[in-house]
Amino acid sequence: MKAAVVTLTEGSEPTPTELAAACPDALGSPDLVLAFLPVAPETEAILACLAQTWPGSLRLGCESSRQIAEGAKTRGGCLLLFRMENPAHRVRARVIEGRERGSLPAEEAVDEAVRELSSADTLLFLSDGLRFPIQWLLDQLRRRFASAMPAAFGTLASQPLSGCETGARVFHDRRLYTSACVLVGFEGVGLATHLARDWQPASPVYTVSAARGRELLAIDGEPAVEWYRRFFTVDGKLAPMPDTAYSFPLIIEGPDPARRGLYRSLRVFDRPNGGATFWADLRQGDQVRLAIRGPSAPGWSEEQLSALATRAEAALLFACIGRTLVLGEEHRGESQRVKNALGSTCLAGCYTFGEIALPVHGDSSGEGVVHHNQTAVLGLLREKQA
Amino acid sequence: MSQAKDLELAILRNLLAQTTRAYDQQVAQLFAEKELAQVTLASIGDAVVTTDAAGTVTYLNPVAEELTGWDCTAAEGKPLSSVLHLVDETGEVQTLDLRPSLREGQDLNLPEPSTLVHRSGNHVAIDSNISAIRDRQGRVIGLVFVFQNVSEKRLLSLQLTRAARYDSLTGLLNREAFEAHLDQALEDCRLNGTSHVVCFMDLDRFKVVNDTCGHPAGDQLLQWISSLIRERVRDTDVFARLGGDEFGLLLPDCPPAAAQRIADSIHRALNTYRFVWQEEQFSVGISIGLVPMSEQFTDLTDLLSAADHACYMAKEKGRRRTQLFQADDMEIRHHHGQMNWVLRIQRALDDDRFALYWQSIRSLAPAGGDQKLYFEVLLRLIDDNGEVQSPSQFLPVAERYGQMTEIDRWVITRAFDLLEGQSKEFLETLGFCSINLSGDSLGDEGLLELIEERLAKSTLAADKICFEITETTAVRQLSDAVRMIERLSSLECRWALDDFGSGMSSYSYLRELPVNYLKIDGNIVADVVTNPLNREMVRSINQIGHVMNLKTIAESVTSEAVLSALREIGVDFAQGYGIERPRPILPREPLPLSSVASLLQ
Repeated sequence: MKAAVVTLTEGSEPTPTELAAACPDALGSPDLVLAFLPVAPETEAILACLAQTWPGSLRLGCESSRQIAEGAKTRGGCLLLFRMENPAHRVRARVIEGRERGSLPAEEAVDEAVRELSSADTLLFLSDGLRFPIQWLLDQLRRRFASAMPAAFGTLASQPLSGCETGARVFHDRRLYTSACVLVGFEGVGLATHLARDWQPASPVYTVSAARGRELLAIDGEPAVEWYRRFFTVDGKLAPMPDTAYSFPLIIEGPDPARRGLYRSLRVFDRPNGGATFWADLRQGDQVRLAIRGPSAPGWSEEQLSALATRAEAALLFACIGRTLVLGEEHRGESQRVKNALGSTCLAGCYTFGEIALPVHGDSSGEGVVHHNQTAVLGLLREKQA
Repeated sequence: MSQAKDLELAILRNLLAQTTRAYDQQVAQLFAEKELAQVTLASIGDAVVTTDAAGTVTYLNPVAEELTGWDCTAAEGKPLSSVLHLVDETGEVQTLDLRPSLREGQDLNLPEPSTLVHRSGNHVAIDSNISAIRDRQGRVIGLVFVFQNVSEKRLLSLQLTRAARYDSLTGLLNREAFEAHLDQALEDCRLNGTSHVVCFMDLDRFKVVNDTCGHPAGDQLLQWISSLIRERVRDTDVFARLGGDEFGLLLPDCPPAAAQRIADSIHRALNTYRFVWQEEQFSVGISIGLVPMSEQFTDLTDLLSAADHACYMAKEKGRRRTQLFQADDMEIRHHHGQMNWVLRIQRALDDDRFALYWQSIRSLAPAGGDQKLYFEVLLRLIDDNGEVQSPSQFLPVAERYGQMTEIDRWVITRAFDLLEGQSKEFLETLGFCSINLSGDSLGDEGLLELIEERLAKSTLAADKICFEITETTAVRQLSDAVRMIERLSSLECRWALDDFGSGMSSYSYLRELPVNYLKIDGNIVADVVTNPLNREMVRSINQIGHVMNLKTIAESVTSEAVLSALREIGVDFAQGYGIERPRPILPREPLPLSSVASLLQ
């Protein structure tokens, strides 16, 4: 696999000539143009430009609040271009669209995607971060693929937390979707994922008494709002929510071993009334604790980083937007440290509203992939030898 | 930023406060749970010993203290093996290897049976289990050894095992245990060609003792006979009571001639033995079937069948003798003999190919006296070729192979069906319909209930039914016979004692058998005209019957001359070919009243 990263300039639309010039000759016409673009009205124009530049390539991606290009954070967007060495290896994609008013996507669309992507070795999920029911899709795919589910990882596109009404979108070819998941299947490409975890438990264990999807209704036998007040009331006043709660996500400790270690971040306080909405699902019976950031340097430990010096041919980094807010200064150099560890391997990615990966590091089947909050997922791609 | 930090710190303080509170609650809860656990441990029936991760005793509950003889304080800090001394069944010391439990947390069950040696030296049978105690991280931090005193249970188990193998009356092996020995011997014979002999033994006329003197006498007789035989067999022989008055003897590594000598010594012992019960004295013989094992017996069933057959032959040949099984006996039996009939009878039952005949019983009362109709239903078997087979062909086999109760049920059911299907006019004319019952049916509670139930549901008056049992059967199974006669007589059924005079009848039995009719045996009746002795026997039976208020029926009346003689003697009824030959009863058709009319004439 050959890969290259093209960084776009903030505030100016690229031209086909500029893009073609930025693409190394060795890639010729890329098999895949994976774009991480800012949340902006210009996205449509950029997609048109991409189509003009690489009409024969598969072009897709998502918007995000910030992007990562070769370790640097950008606001103008970036492209990761792929070309397979082995002509038998291919990349395919299917879009599963969400529906209005929270109703679930058509199961036929999932069936078609599974058929289309059944030969894939690696799946990449690119979903919008607010509307598409990603947990439902994961469950559907797990049921259909079972143990044959390819290795998988992905991102839930993020938008700036304020000032953006449209929300981050995903796109395929020239079409933009406000609620959809683009499923990308890499045939002949292996995946290894690494997960950065920064949190440690800081409270006793509590049990979720009632939950509905991403809504936490009651915990420890009392309404979620009241439960949060126990911890977040200072000098008789409730601390600003949900901002304060970003620093204290929940850690799921059981009883389902498949969910053990997942973080859940609060998104909206007191909605629904008396409850709270999270960035990912909580389930009745989940045993949870409030967490605080760990004592050591956030992100990737030296041990983890040294493990990255593999012969990956391209890398994708999806880091939770919440980490940047909470971990602050200590977090700023994170993507650069990852890039340094990767050496010449191309690295692109974006900041997310949720990550999809195995609960721990791994390269096995995607059967166990889950929806994370508050982590950073690094996916290392490498074309398989014939 | 500073404000945010302050806020974060304030929330961390809240978290700490909540955590401390939760910790305090948990400590209180743990303390309560510990108290509860200790109280529970002190009051449960199981003994509990705990150790630390090094296998050193940390605790004994009161039951453990009692069973080991160790005080908890004294045992604390000692290795578990110092406190728990275990030995196996043979008294060998059992070493407790705790390493698998301590290292890997494996549960450990001590091999059973296991015995704990009390500090005083007394032994206590225990069932036990060792489990690992783990901390929250799953690390083994100790062991818990739980055990129960199962001394009583083990004793009971031994008793049950013994009961499963031995006959409680005689102390001999029972049938199951005997068959297990036979199985092994058969295998040995097949593999090594070893010469073993099997004997089946059946006491002769045991039922006479049982019925006349009661079961306690029968039981004592069986115990005496068991001792007598046991004294005459070798230590290596396997002697068993197979049930009732049947015994089995396996003579391992014994040539047939030696087996014959052992059998002869058993006969001699029994021939000189007299069983005395109260005023009565009985001579008891035994019939023995001897079967030398050989490769011809492919399985235990074959062998048992051969032994049974040989014993039966010994009985058939006059009892008190030994019959050596010959290989071709089996073939003859299989191809031409009784087994063939057993199958034919079973097929006839399955295919409903029995038929009822009827033969009238004529009242010999003066003309115009008794106007009723009396008849006996008789049984025939329609064979595969459609030929009618008489009862003498198949009833002996059916009696021998336990098919009589089923046949009796068939007859009773059909006879009731027949009578219930008759007209009111016919039933008013009917005196009784006589039905034969076999000896096997006398002890059949199910059949008795069937008759009672049938009578309860039927419009047929019970006094229209007369059951017949033979004199020999009634005497042989006196208690069963009396019980059944009394039960059905209480419902108004009538009873006849069949073939009276054939079995060297003792009139004294008549006192005990509450029957209504005496049927004088046909062999006496047949030549009543020509044989003065028979004539006097008939007269005597008739007189005794009348004295006892019984009606008499002469069987096998073949001629008018016999009939006249019977009239002259004063016999009440007569039956036989000279009066009417048996006639088939057609299914679902009424008995022809014309026949009735002719009979009345």
